[in-house]
Amino acid sequence: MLPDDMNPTRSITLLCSLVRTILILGTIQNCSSSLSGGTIEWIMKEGAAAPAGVVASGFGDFATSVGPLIDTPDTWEPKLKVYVIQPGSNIVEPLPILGTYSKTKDGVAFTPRFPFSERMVYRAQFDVPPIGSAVKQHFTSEWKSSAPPKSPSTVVSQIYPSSDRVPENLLKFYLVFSDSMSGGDVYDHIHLYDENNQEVELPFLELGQELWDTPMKRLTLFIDPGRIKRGVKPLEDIGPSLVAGHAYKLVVDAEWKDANRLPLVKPFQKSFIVAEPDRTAIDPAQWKKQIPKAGTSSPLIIRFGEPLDVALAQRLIEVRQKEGVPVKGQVKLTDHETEWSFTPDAVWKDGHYVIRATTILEDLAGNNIGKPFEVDVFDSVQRWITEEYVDIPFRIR
Amino acid sequence: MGALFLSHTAHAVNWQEGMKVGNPNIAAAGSIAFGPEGILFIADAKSAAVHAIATGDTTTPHGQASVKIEGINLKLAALLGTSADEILIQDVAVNPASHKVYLSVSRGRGPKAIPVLAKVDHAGNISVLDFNNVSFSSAVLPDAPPDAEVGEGRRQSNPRQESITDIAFLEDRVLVAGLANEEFTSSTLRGIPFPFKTISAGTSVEIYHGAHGRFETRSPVRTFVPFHIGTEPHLLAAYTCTPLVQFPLKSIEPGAKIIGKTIAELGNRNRPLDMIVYEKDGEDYLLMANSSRGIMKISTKNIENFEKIEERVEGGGIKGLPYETIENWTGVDQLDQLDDDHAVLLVRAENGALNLESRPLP
Repeated sequence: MLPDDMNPTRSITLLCSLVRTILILGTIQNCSSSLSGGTIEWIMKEGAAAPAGVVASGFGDFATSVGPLIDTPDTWEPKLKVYVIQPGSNIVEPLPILGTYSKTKDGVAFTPRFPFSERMVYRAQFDVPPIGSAVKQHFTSEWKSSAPPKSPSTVVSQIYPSSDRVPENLLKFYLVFSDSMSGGDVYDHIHLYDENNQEVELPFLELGQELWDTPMKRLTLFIDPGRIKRGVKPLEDIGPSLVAGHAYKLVVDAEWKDANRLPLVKPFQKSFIVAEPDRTAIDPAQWKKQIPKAGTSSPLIIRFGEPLDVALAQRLIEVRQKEGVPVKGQVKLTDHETEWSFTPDAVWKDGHYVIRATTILEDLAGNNIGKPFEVDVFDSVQRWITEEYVDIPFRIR
Repeated sequence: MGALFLSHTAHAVNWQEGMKVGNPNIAAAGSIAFGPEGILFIADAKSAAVHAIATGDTTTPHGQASVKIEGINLKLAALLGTSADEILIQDVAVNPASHKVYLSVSRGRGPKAIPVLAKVDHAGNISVLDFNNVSFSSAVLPDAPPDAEVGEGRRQSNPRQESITDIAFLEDRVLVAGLANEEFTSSTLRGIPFPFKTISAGTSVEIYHGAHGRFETRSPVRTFVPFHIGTEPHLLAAYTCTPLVQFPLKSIEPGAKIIGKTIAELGNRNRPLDMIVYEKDGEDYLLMANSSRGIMKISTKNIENFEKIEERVEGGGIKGLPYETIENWTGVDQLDQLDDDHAVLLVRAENGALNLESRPLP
């Protein structure tokens, strides 16, 4: 009756939603004894947390007694319906779950189009249509996970910039979580408070399409650019989200749910002081290099003299041999993202190298290499770098 | 969002050229827009791609289109076998060939969320598109920003993603506005020729905002809508820093740097969510759903001659093109034009339910 990979481990006694006398069969049916031996089974696959489908079977006697009621999937299909029960309520939308039906030896199997979830309660209903003087019957079975509820386990593991001092025109935060999160309402769970514990109104750029990485463990939170850019209305009307000389705290609610729909273990808070705005382009000529010796695999270290964007500094700075061949190795950012260190996979060889930095690298205020976040077009003295990257040569001996 | 298409080149185009039958393997369904002949474009940020699906839904039924579904999130949850809070409606678009409403839905909120496309017919029935055996073609977003080459493992774990804030079809191009989750600098507007070609991946242009002719910054586009000024196709775009700007479609050329002409400055708390352009009594209007106020109706009558805003804007409110606020249209998350006289709205009711309903265009 069942496919080989389906193992019915959970057979739930049929419950009659209506207890009625089925005159046509000449017997009295009640909830605890199934109608002519009919059952509704939830099909659990080995190791699965939720059923793979539902099978209604054993109603054959009934069919035989009253004629070919249950002869083809077409006539079976409308008789078995599966519904989802919304959590915390008994309200069931009268729309059955989408899925496919197939006829088994003496019944019908339903496979949902989208997998059942262990977090939900499902109700299967088998309808016997009115026959003769009998009234229509509903036979129902509910499935609910018997696994114990899980405890929250996800935390905010890091917020970048990691320093407790940021420029007034800070462009973004990265929130890093210990596990995958849920999205769709992230801005409800992130708050910025000033030193008087007043919540700053709408400090962030709220986007319908939230800025997650693929595993949804890192969220990028831009400060509303309308409150950073000079000359635009939100900044002129109500000022910047962050004001130099003041203290703030960024708070993440514990109610924010992870990918398993469990809240965070605890709320998270980052306190910081706001410094003057940084409107200066990144200048690699000011970077201090610590160059390792040939024959070692000691790290090559760059000290930027200011914190850079953690993601971009990891992604957009590389080491090449003079001939252009990239050197493989591991990058680390330390000292509040002011220091970049590169440990090669193989020992350094004597020779000429370059540090190649892509010019779209950003500091905390979104200034690039050779080009500030806001270009003052009246300032004709400065020449902005337009190359894709800059190379900083160095020698290993 | 902003998913109008206005006109197409006069010569016959085989819009389904290069399509194959199968499953487009959509990783995430975000913004959607319709092109000609019932072709639906789906922004898939997870795959950094745009998919085109020939829905085959090309007949306009008789009678007036009218939609009213209360608690559409609950109904979708019922059909998809999940809880209402696991349903995220990403976008709403009307197929101009059939006047049927399509919803781009995420079933789930985590990394394993399943993309779903639902269709609402004129009787109010909701069906879900089966992605198996559809006619489709896909285009990968052009000009993805570079990666440094420092280690083999790094590239795989690169957490960089680009969010697609809006897409639209205009003339012969799919336009895609995007914002990266790392570099603000690489916010772009891309034009991808359609039918998709394997050789020409399209172009991306740098979008700038020139505040008062002085401070020039890269400016991601939040939402945009195609619009004709005279016979010239243009885009009206809302930047994330709130100015409303316009630029001609022809400026989207390889290597171009576009500075949108500011036609309105929106104040704080003004987050444009969606825009449509429509014609009423021989005049064009822009309708903009907004996070803080009712819908804004902006006459575009004088847009052609409108001087760009270069003066400082004092006080609250907005400056620029004249507008009126449709006060009783509140809580509008999404909107599109249903037919010549109606808009369809996704409205967040006070009890938290999401309702899909049509209303006469104001």
